[in-house]
Amino acid sequence: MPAPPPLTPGQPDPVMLFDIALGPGATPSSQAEVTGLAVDDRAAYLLGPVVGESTQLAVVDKLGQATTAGQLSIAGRWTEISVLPGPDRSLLALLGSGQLGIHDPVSGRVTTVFLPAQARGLAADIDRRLFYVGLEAEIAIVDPDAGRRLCGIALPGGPTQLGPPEQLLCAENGTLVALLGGAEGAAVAIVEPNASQAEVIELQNGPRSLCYDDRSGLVFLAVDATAIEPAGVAVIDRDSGRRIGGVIQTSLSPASLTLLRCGPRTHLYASVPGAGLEVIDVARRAVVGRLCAVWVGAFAAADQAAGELYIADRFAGARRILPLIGGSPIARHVTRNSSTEQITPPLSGPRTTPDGSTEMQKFDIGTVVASTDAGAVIVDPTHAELWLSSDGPAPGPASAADQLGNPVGDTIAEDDHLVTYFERGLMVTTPVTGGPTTVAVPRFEASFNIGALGVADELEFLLGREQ
Amino acid sequence: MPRSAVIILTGPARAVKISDDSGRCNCTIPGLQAIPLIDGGAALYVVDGEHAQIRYDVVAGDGTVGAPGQYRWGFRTPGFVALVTAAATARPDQLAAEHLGTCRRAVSIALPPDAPPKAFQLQLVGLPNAGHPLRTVTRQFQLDDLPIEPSQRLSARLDDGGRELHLTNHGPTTTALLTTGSCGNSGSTACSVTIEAGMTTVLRPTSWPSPGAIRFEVRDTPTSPAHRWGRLTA
Repeated sequence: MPAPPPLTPGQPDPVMLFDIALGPGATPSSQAEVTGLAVDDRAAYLLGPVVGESTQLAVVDKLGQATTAGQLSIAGRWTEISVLPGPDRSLLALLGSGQLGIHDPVSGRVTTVFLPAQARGLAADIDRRLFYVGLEAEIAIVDPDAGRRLCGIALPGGPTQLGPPEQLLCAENGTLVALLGGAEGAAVAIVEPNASQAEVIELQNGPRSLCYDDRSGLVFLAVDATAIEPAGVAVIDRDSGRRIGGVIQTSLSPASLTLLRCGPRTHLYASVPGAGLEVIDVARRAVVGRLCAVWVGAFAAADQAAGELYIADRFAGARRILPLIGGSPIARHVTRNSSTEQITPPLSGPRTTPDGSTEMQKFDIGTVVASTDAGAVIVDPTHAELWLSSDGPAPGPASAADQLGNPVGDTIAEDDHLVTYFERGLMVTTPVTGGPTTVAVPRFEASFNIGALGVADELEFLLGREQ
Repeated sequence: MPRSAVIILTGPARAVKISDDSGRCNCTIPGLQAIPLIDGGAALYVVDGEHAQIRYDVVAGDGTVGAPGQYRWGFRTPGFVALVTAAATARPDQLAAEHLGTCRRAVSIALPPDAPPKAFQLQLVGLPNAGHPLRTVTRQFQLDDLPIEPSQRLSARLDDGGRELHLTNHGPTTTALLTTGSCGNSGSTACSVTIEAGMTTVLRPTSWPSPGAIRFEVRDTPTSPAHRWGRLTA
């Protein structure tokens, strides 16, 4: 056997970023930066600025249009925002000086919960339907449905005099993480779900902000440059409380960090106001994508289900960020089918398919679905919409995706029909008066012609030439 | 997801045991059915449903130990073929169809601790899928002179419509000769690949049907992102 040839090292696949400005109705006030940002599956919520004794709030749908709730002016000075999605409506929490406002954007009703004046740091626990607020020596728990403050979680003082939380976040699994800052040092406090006490990791230098990955147990800190290390992201292992490796270098000090996951990939988005947005591959500990733009602001929020990021525009409103993972089956297939040399911008972020096995992403040519067996295929937009609907072609509770399986090829034109083949069925759009009709027809799995099989044929059979 | 598969064993070998991951054997495995063949030269089974593992322990057939000739064992689903070729020996080769009925279906080769090292040929083929009129390309990966050590287990599967080969090596670092190509296409390419110990190696020709360079990635686990990557050339 010949010796293996030397390996030619390569670069990691880049993450390309495309931004869409939210529409005209999205801007709370012209030429004014938002001061807070939250997002759920319904809309993006843009807080700020304060005008007189009221704070502007814009509710913007995912296409960038102001919703019926539109632009609101809420009495009081509110500085932070968080959202709790619900089956019928979302509830917003607005944190101001000494009070928490629980706002129903549909009815316009605001319930006020009074807190100590130094309250800072706001997070939502979606599974438990709770809001958390950082106070001097504890994290207050607020029940938004009852509109009242419940018990609190004590924060330890530690050897250094730590102040109230500067930032509070709640991970997907309910773990609370607080960045504590003070005159003599800083620390990260971590509270597991249902725990009454926090564990504290002391830090050498006060970071600007933090982010937590509950799957890996890693804490990411946005740090300034020091005499020995560049500005960037420091990584701490939560179990050992120790730094892992050196700082992952970014162009300048990040103002905020946001985690976005899709499938096995975890990317960290570092906002560097005035310079741009940088994507860090957590596993590779390297910057793998960059959007250079002076409009990038400090505030960002991730829509995990949609695989998208929303980021404040320093000049007005906010923008929607759509990542495209270079080198992925989706990106390769779109490039192969592009009529130009330019990469086609996506219309959505990469999302997990209904069966959870792989990914899909919307483009103007259709929804590209990547599966293990078929690879990436382009599905006609109307077929993709029906495939993702809750009602399947056959009666019963199973969704269309459950009944049909994944698409196995690009949507094709056959005579006058538009046909998409799925693992267990197909969709046909027939042009008729009044518009297209879409039907789904069950198909049988490929059959094995085993009755005609002889021993001499086994290799041909196994190589798939028998059918 | 197609849920049926056919498993076949031919040549101078027999299965001393067919078992699943729950410890059930032969006809007690749900969904496993023997198909009688007229000339009796092969053992053929059809298996339905999801199975984490269907394992064959394959030894030389009666009176054929040391005889020339190789056996073949493999399985086929509507979109995937795995085929193992090796010399039949007295100690059992442990060949398994894994994650049947799911999109992670794979084939694995292992040897028991007291078996001598042995070389295998492993072939994986991605078939045109489910009758789609425009999906006509068959993509094939073949590993020749693939040495397996005692207690080593190597599993392989295809991804991205047969464009990628994923090899997970539970054992020492192994080197084999890789040939890729499309069935009916003479433009195949061969190169030596190193399958690192304890890692998942992903191999992807940069183009089909005439593969040129092969892009490789090395991952800690089958689902983790790559920590090393680059290109192999023939």
